[in-house]
Amino acid sequence: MASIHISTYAAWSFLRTTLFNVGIVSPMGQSYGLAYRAGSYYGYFRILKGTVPTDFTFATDMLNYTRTADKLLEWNGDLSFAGSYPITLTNYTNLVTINLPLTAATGSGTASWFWWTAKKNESHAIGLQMLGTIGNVGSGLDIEIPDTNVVTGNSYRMQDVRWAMPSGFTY
Amino acid sequence: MAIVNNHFKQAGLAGILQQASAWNSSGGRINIYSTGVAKPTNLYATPFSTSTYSAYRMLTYTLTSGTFIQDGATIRFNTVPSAVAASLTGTASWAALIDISSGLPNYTVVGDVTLSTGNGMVYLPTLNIVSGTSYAILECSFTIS
Repeated sequence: MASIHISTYAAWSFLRTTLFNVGIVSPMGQSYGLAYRAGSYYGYFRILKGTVPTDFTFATDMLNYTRTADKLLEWNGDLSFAGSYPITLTNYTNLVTINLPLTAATGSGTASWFWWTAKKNESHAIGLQMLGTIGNVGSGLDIEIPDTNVVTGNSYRMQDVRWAMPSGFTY
Repeated sequence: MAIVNNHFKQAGLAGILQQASAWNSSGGRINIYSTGVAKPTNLYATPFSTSTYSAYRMLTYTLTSGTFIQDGATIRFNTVPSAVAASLTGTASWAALIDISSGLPNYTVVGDVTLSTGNGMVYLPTLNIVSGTSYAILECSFTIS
């Protein structure tokens, strides 16, 4: 199977753009990074329950999506990203650290997936987005947490969550 | 593994191409290596070093302005580098797209060399390379899956 392998500088360039980009124009037009928080409309980091989607067809835009009833937790760039910058990327590495502040759950259930979106323009249209799986420690899923049971009204935060880009990709 | 949308890939690749400016200047190289040495598979742990593989380098292409462009979620040739004479006889196996402008190849992508019917990062007209004979790369392209 064919594969490519990238250096840390290449990974850093990729991540820097997808996180903090302010106005780079990719072939699909202007986009904002996932951690971009100036201006308006911002982006969202959500934790949800239920079956993990395999694509993004469940979402029309950042606010309109078919899985709203499955939302357990939401960090809105407008509110929860205030204060010290919660997402960092160490220079010339592939290491991203995420620290999102305490927020109250709006739903109860077993957290099974996350969905991270950024605005495409000055609206709620989605530019960049990512989703992945959540499971218990040792599960090998994208985010591992000690207890996946989320209870409405309880407060939760993300502390020192590490996100690293793979070094190799197969085709 | 998490999944991302096409816009995410495009933005990230645009960031790489913007930062790895040497790929579009004389500071960029594409080196072709023989089957005599395995393709490195973890450049995070062991950054690519041209000296490590110099004995197995068959072809070296110096890049110029406008060599690469972004085509959707792919970075590919915009102009094809001139043919160069091989310095080694053997079978081409893998290629390294590197930036030598800062002394160390900081912005590096390593991939397979195949015929155009294959699925490599670099396409050559033949994999059987003869020292002294000139060869041109047919295509070089890659994406992040």
